[in-house]
Amino acid sequence: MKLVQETPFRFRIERQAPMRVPGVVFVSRDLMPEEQALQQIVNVATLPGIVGASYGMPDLHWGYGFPIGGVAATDVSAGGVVSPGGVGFDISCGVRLLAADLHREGLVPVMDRLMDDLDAATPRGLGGGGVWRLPGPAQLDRVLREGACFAVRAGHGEARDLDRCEDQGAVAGADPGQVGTRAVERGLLQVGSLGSGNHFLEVQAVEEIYDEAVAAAFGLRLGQVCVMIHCGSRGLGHQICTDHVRAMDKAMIDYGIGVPDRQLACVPVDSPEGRGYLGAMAAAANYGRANRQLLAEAARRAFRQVAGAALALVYDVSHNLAKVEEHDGRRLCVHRKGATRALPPHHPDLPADLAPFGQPVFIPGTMGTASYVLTGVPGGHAFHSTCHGAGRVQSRHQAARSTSGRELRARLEGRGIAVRGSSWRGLAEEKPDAYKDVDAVVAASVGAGLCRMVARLVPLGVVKG
Amino acid sequence: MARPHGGRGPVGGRGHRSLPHTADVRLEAWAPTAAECVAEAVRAMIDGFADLSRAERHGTRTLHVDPAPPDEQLLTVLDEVIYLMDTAARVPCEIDAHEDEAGLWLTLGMTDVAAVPQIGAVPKAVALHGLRFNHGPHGWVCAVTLDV
Repeated sequence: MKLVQETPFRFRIERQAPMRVPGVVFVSRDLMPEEQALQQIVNVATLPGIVGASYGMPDLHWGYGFPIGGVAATDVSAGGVVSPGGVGFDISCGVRLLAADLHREGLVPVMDRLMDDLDAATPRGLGGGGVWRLPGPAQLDRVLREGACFAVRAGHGEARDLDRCEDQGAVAGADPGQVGTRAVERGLLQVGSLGSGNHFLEVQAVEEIYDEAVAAAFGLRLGQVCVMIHCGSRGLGHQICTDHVRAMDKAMIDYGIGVPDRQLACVPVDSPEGRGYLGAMAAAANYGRANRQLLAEAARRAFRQVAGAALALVYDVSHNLAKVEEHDGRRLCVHRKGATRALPPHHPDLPADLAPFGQPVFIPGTMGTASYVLTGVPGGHAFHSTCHGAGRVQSRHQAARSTSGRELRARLEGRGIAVRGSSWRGLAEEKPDAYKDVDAVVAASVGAGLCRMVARLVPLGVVKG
Repeated sequence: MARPHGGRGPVGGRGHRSLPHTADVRLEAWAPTAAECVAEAVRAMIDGFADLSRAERHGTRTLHVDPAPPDEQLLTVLDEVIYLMDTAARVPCEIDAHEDEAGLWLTLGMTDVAAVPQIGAVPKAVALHGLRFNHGPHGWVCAVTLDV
């Protein structure tokens, strides 16, 4: 593998057979990931119909099939493929940010009670169920077709929320007929649940603002209390990915396609299996958006009851998704796995009030560090994409072996960060130094021309999945 | 249920361990027969997130897997255990496995997830990335990547 540095934040992996395009990795030397992640960039570059480059974002790290932090687009009219592995198991995993009409100083007297209420109101972990008990498959069908729109129509939110969601809360083209029985059964019980692993609900405060005008347009001001929710499409999304990867693993030979890693299983976008996956994926994406909508409503109730404060949705973004998009006159299937779309100002898909400023992008750090609000920039690279988080550097096993959950909570609480975990080891697995430095990741994203900074948020309390 | 073995690896007998991987969870299991190796992989998966030291069996579930390549049988079993956790809120706390000409048979002693302390991130899916299931000089060895 020949790696050439083109700028301080851009490295090129020269194309060598069987790569169809080069690799481009937006990192600094300090953020250069492990060899396995770069090899996965090379593997993705072999996919039929891939155009431009196989891209890696600044938080790139070793995944399975696609790297996490990978972006790849295929030309639909040239036999380009769709790969469920390029979206990931947790379809439409994403981040939602809500801003409170409350300064952080106003939270101090009620913080413990608020955290206890959020702890109780946020289903998560093993067998936790969900906020919204759907009566049956007919209602789930509407969640799959209408996403957050159905949740809001059913009374779980405000009409304005939908203006502040990607795709106005529902991805078009959802086809519940392509969602298997097992996925439906797993999905029925989990609408409005956080999950486990790296998912969280965090109470934060705006610590620093880098662009006053954009921050004001997003509804953010210094010292303001915010709530960030990170979760996805739960068991339903995982089952859809599993079902379609297994089907494509068997079907791709019929299309003459071979891949260097079975998790890259793929078929042409314009094929029965490709259309079937995209229909099921859109349904899972809608489930993910409804899921975050329900968790946001649970947080709103807790804030209203404990602090007398309201929460306004800033935006809701996905960082695991494939979308058919127009770029330079071509219809491309853009896979973002652990990468966030970052639309530039005046993009037609932006809501009118945000159009002059670009798309809000949220980058969660870790429990002990910071999170960032970014926005898209004109001329952004990798089909208008940027990073999605800090990116792991340690396995869960390594992290849990070197720190105990109790020690970690004591350390965080010593710094004024309230912690409500669901297991000690789960907490230890998510220790801050198991991740890259989010400040460095964001600096590389800005330096590479992928986005620009709007605000920096710091944690006050975390409800951990 | 056995606790995870340390770093000794598959050098005989049976056991399991987790392997370093920055994406979620990767585990390795080994045993003298393919059926026992599948059972050991189930134990490895559950040991990663549940403390079954005080679990009591409430019911039994029999799982039959048709004859197929060993890696396909392994996927079927792990998929089934994940599905049962999400839909029936049950998790195996005792596992027996054997194989005959009709395929693979598992007898799973089940317990309620609500009664089990959670000690780690809960698996949601099994990846095909790096899936291995081989017979070697010390018996059967499998390696699996789980999404949590």
